[in-house]
Amino acid sequence: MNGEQLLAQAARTLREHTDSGWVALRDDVVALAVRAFRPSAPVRGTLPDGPLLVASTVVVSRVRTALAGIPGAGVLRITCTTTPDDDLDRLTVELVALYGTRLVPLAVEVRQLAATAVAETLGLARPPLDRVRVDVSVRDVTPDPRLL
Amino acid sequence: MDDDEVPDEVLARRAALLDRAAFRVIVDRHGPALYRYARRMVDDPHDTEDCVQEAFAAAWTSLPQFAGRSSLRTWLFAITAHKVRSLQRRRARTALPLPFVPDEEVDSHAVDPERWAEGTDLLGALHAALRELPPGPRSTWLLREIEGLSYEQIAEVSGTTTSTVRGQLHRARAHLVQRMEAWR
Repeated sequence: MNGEQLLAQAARTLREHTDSGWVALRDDVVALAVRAFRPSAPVRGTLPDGPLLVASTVVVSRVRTALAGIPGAGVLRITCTTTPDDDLDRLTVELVALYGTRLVPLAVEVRQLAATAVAETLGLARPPLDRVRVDVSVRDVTPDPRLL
Repeated sequence: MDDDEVPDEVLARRAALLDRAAFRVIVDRHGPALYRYARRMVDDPHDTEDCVQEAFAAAWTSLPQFAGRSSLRTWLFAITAHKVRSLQRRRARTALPLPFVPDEEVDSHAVDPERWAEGTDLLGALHAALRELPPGPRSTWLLREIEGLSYEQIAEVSGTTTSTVRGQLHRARAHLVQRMEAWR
C-alpha cells in the first residue's frame, strides 16, 4: 500500500474508534452538564405562610412534563412572561401538531394541562386560567410523528 | 419510539425545555465523536476531558438559544472547537516561547523521534503524524476526513472561510500522506 492508501485505512480505523477515555467520562459529562446554571427570571408563587419564588426554568420544565404525553403534538417552546413584581403574566406554549390532529380540542387540552401544572408549581389554589393567560400557538404541522 | 430514531432537532428542542433524558441521548449520540476530535487536538487526556465536559455544559446552558440555523452536530463541534482553542491559547500563554518556527509551519524533516516511534501500528502512526500538524490543518482534516463535515460546516466550526478550509485540508493531506508513506 502507498501512503494515500495507508492514510485512507488509518482514517477508516479512526472513524470506527471510540476512545476509552470517553467511556469513562460519559456519565460524568451528563451529570455535571445538567448541573450547569441556566439563567432564568424568578416567578412569584404562594405558600400558606408566605411568598414563594420559583425559577422560570422550573415552571417551564413542569409544564413540559405535563404536556409530554399529549397525542398528536410536540412542544416547540414554552415561555413565561412576568410582571415587574415577578408575578406570572402569561405562559406561551408553542406546538407542532401531527397532520390530521384537530387543533381546537388540542389547544384546549394543552391550555388546561399547562394551567394546572403552573398552579401546582406556584402553589396557586386553583388553576390560573382566569388570572394568567395561557396562550397556545400551533406553529407547525407535520406528517412525521418523529418530529413531535 | 426508540431514542435512536428521534431526530437531533427534536432532541435539541426537548433538552432546551430541560428534558434531561433527551440531553443524555444527545451526549450518547455525539459524545464519542466530540471526544475523538478533542483528544486529537489536545495531547493531554485530562485537558481533553475538560474540553468535552465544558463543551457539553455550555451546550446545556445554551440550548434554549439554539435556533437550528446549523445542525446540532455542527453546533456541538463549534462549541468543542472553541473550548479546544481556548485551552490552546491558555497553554500557549503559560508555555516558554520557541525562538523560531511560526505556528502554521511544519518542518517535515524535523520529527520528534520518540513520538514517531509511538506509531508502531497504523492508528499510532496516524496519531503521531497528526501531532506534527498545526492546530488549524489538524482540526480541518479531522472534521472533514473523520467526522464527515462539509467545507461550509468546517468553516463555521472554525470561524474561517471555505477557501481557508480547502487550503488547510490540502496541506494536512499532503503531510499525512508523506508521513504514512515514511511509516510504511
